[in-house]
Amino acid sequence: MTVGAGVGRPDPETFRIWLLLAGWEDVSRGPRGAMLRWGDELVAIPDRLAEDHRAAWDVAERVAETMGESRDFVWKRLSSPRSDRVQFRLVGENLPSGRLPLGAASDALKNARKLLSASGTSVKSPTRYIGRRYLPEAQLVAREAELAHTEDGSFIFPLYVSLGTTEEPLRYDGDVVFEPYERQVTRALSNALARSVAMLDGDVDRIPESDLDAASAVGVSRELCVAVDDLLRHELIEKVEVSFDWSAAYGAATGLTRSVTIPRESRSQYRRLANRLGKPAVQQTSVFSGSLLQIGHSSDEAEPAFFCVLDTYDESIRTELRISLTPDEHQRAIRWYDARATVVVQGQPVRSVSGLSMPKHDRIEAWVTEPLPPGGN
Amino acid sequence: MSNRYPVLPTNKAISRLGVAYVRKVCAHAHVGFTEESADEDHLAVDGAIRTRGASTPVQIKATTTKSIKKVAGTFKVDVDPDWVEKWRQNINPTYLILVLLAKKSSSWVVYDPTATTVPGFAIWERVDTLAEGTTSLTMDRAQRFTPLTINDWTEILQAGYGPVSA
Repeated sequence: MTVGAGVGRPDPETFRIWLLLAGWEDVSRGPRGAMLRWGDELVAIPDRLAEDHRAAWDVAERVAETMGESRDFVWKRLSSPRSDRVQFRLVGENLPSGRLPLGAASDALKNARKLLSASGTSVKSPTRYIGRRYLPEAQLVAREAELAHTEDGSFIFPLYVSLGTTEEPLRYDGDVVFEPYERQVTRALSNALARSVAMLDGDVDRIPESDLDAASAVGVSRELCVAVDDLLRHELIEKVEVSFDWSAAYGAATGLTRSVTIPRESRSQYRRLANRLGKPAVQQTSVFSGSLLQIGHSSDEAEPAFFCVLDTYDESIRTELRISLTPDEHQRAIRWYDARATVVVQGQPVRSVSGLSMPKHDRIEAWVTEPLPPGGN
Repeated sequence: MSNRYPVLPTNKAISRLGVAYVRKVCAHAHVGFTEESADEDHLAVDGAIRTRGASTPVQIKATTTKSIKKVAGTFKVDVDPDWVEKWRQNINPTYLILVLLAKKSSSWVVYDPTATTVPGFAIWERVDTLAEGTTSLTMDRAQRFTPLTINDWTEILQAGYGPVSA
């Protein structure tokens, strides 16, 4: 029974939510804890799991066997549930099994770090071109992300980003939990990669400036594109797959991207996209992105007004932006809220004593790649 | 029947036979058994029966007695207070299994032409619910460890996690 050093205290409740998200079903609950089911398999999750290391390890072993996951990964989910896993998989037919040329490996690590720094900068100061203006807090997240043992298969290296280490999560109305900055960074990375891949579908030179601005709001920056291009530099790497395993500590992250694959052929397009982002046009409107904190409507029956509140940044300061919605947008926003999707809004903000608001917007959309529940996006 | 080139000392051989006995019952019950390696016996548990839903930790004690056929009623087993403390910390039901074997090592297992017999038996007692400071345990000759016991234990275990159908 050997477990790595530096593991946290098992947290059965967050682990249970993670299992439910992964496809397990609740069966029953008794005085000792909860019973979950996956097909014919049962696993008991004791409430006092943290007090019995042996029982905790037994749970991890059973879950790993049932799901076909590695025991270490499941143990990590059980013992430090407040972390997101970002896993890079480098694929190439001619790559030697289980090995990687050192040049490609060091490029991969360097660029993984750059991707986190760029995404973290875009969270607070969305921009098309970062230059040397990386935010120190973003660089800190990139520096503190933990590289775990490489996994079997092509060449796979997992990074764990611990959540809530730089600031304590705050509560909003005792209900919604503010995501910590580190989650915003991993969220931005997943969004930016997915968004950038989607942008390459058409002709990169014809993408409207306003779309580039909107993309920059979810983290697509020149630096991110350069890092992706560089990640694929070694000729043996045919594609890179970045997958995300989201901590369940901040609610059901069903609206977040799970996996993005970038083929080697996209390199030249990434370079063109980087070039276009590097020559920013004058921005006409402001773009904000973040997750929804609240959805509501005013109690005035004569004039029903719908709104949502976005957890975002205004000139690098964390802000709540109140956005007015049409009834139709309000319906969609409810689903975005439930899925914890990233929402992007473009328009002219109004600053007043009661805070930042946007009575009119040019567009509002959620960036989701996973299918939403029926009637989604 | 004995091996002229023994490797294990007698007490170690008895303890191996005790574990083998429990393993055999588990296999008969279609349930797995995981053994702790000897040096990791820090929780006073020798292994875990892989019962449905969660494992059931067990401590196995094996001993020999001169007249195995005459053992009746109840008898006392000394337990280490440190073990008791550790058993009490287990969050799932935990049991002590006592395996009683014949005194003479040549009679531990009887190899008949068509049957391999262990002249002995195993009994059990639940130990995670013992009072603090317990130093001895009264075990009941009638409480035998068989595949049916594993059924009962599974039901007791699962009851802690609510009503489970099937």
